[in-house]
Amino acid sequence: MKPSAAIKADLLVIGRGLAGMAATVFAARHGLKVVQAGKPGQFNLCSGLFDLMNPSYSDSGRQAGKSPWKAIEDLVKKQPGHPYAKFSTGELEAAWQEMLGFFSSQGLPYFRRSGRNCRVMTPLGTLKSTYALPQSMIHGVEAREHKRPCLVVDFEGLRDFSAIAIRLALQDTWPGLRSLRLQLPGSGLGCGGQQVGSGEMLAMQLEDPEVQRGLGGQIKPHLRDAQSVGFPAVLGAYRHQEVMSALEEELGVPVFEIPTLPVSMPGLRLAACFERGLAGLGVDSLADQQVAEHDFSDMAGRIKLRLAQAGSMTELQINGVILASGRFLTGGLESLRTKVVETVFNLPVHQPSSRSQWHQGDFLGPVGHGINQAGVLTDNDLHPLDASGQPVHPGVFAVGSILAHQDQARMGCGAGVALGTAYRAVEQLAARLRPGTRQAAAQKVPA
Amino acid sequence: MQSNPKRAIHKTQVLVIGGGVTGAGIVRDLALRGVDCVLVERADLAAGASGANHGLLHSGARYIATDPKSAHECHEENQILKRVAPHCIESCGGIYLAVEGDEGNYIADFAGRCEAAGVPVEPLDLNEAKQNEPGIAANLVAAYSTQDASIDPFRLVMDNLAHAKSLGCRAFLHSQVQGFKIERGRVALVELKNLRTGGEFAIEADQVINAAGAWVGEVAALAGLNINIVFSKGTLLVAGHRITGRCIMRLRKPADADALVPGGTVSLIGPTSVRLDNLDNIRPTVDEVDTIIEGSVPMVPELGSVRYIRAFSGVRPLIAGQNVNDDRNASRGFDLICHESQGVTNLTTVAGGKLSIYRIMAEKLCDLICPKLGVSAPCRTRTEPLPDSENNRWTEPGASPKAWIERSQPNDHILCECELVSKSVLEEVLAALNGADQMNLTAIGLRSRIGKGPCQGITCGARVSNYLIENHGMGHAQAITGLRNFLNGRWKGERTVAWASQQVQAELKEAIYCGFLELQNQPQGPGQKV
Repeated sequence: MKPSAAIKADLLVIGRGLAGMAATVFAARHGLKVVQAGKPGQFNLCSGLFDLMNPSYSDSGRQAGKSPWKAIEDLVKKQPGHPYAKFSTGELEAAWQEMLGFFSSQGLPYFRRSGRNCRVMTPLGTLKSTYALPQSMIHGVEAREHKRPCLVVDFEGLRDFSAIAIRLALQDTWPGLRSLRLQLPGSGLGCGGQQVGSGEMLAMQLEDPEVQRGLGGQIKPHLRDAQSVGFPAVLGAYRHQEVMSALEEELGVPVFEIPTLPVSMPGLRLAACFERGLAGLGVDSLADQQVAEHDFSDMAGRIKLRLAQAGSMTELQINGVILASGRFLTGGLESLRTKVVETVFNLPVHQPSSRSQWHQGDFLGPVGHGINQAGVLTDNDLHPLDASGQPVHPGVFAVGSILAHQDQARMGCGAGVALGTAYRAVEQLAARLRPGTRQAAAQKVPA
Repeated sequence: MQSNPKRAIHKTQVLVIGGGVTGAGIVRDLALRGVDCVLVERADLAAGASGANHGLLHSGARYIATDPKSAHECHEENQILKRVAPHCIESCGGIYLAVEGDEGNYIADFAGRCEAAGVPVEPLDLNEAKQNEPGIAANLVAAYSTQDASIDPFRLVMDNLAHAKSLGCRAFLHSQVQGFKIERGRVALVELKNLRTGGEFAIEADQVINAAGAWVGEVAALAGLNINIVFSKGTLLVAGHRITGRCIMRLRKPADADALVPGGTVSLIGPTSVRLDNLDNIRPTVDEVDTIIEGSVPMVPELGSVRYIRAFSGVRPLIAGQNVNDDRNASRGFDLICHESQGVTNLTTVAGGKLSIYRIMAEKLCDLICPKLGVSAPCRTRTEPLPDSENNRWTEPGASPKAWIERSQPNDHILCECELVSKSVLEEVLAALNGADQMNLTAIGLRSRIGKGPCQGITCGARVSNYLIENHGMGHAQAITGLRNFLNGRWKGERTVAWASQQVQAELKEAIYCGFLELQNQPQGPGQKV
């Protein structure tokens, strides 16, 4: 097939999850010409919470109050192969600042505490430890910490969210917590206890001022001493801030969101935020195109690639490639019956010796399954290694969840690794392309 | 042994130990003869081999060479069960097929041996066989149609027990025998403990039947008796869709992976046979799964690439005594062991056997003990239809979505998205459970399709857990413990098939339950701390 187009650029980012999007933002802000490709991220599955490190990892919750930064220090001592060992906490902090700053500039402010995690209520009434959360969720965290009188509302038909479960789970230590189930007012699918369907539909409906007023009217008689009101995170899709403000005005107290199971509106808001922001940064998108051929042979020069999609072929000459294609859910890794393979460049994958070692017998065991730590190996500069252990090309980097030696679900290190490695890779590439312009490593980490 | 003097003592004519198909079949047979009886089960119904098999109602053709008597018995029972329990059976028929390279003598002798054993088979034109079942191998050398069928073992067990209960039988689940009080050469009292509540009780029975399947030896040991049983673990794979219309069986001596049985919308493939020394760890292994796939591909090639949802293992309790190298050649018949000669006059063990002949096992056992009770009523299970108990029908794939559409109730929310199990169906399952100490996700899963689809509990786990909290007064800590147990139970079957799509599901499940809900960090047991 003849290529239908030829593109020259500084950087190709493969993968559009958090790591790929972050790398794109960082690179574009460096003034690099960036092209995006690969499969979309699964933002619908993303709770909107950004993890750095769960101090409870491997000790079943005993050290939940410990600083995540201290937990990272301890982790890399025990597991020197972890991606966190490949960059400084200064770089990691700079990545957080830049990323959260970007969200804020796009109208999606985030909140974090420097030295400790927040514990957020989940739709099952359990508590999740996380580092940064949408500002819409703060009042819930604080209400629980200070045991303030509080009302949590849910909706008939929104089956994956239970205000009653939250109340029952927490009421022993938080007697001021009450729950309320409502039928969504107004017309449409939520009416009369009909199947609400999804949070997305509810979020859209809640953008209607009529619905907001009706909802406020239903809640007011139940407010009593409540100093804040919590909702499943469905308070608006595109006009989220307006919905929040309107409800606060109706109720006269702060409102907050509680993250939900998929489909997750805070995740979709992130996706929308990236789309808006990247359009403004002049990033080219070859969305959904897949790498068909690659040539890494010119170690000192450019990388040649061909991208394909349904009959069209694009040729690229690129100075740098960042592989951020994720794991099994997003197709960056694929598990055959006998082995795990990397799908874009067929890079060697670090993995357990046989399938019987992939998973342990206890699904919820504290240590995590062997396959979780499978992934691409890199050198300290995040260049993926070939079968002989050499970097495949000085312009090629691997970032995010595809990297070996991490266990995101157990360690709670997903966003931290995504942002830190993306930042580190972009800094390396920028230094390589524009020697002398590299920024000094960012500010010290707050204690 | 020590016993609580305040414990309740129930009196009955016959106590049956074991809630598998054998025990359930026995209490129904007894109840139909007017005998008062009680069934006790350590775990849940069909918790052993009765719930972990192919769901195959044998035609008998599998046993023509190793055990012609069993083969004929299978055929007779196949005909009877199709008449009396049609709602538990899909009479899909079977094809025994041989491919190039299969043993010629066995193939040549097949039809004659079937005839000798009284198992009807019909030779099939090979082209016609291929047209009828496009999934079977191209290099066929022989094919016969048989009367094999697909049977729902869960429903069979539940309906047998439900019928018995309607005739006065009582049942105690999650109740383990703690010991036998033996006086003057007979079991005077059986001491039990409810493992859920810790409550102790006792049963005084004229006759005691040990129908504990693989665990008969353990039960007999409590009475100081020794039974020689060997354990053969069989592992099976569940493929996510129905691959063939009929049961597809390999025309050769019994061996690994010689049967594919459709079960409603899914397919079951296997089994393997591995000797076990004890019953502590009955779970499938990666090696067994690979053995099944590689062994079944010559019969149905697409089994090399289909999506497997889970694997599970059961234990065949085989009667020891014969010196056999391969457990498949051991007798698949059954033994009735009167322990009179060992000094306990009113205890009888029923050992061995298999699902297809459960009814005749029960009949023969009851024929043996009824005269001892002075009961002369004849067996009625040969002709009396097994009532279709409405609340027990939700294990059948496809029953829930059908009911949901037919009912079309506005608030009948779907709780399990894969298998389309709605609120109203769950309520019926809960009604059949009948008892708060039994209300948990695992018990619900056993009686419905909840957790059985491709996602293996990702969506329905959390959802049904919340539903029980909201609508049935379940405590939060209890719900979380139930959810953990349910997820771990599902995982037992998932982990050996977690590649390709199922690895994606496993990753999602872990992201949700560990990454987001942090179940691994929740305090265990009662008294949830925050």
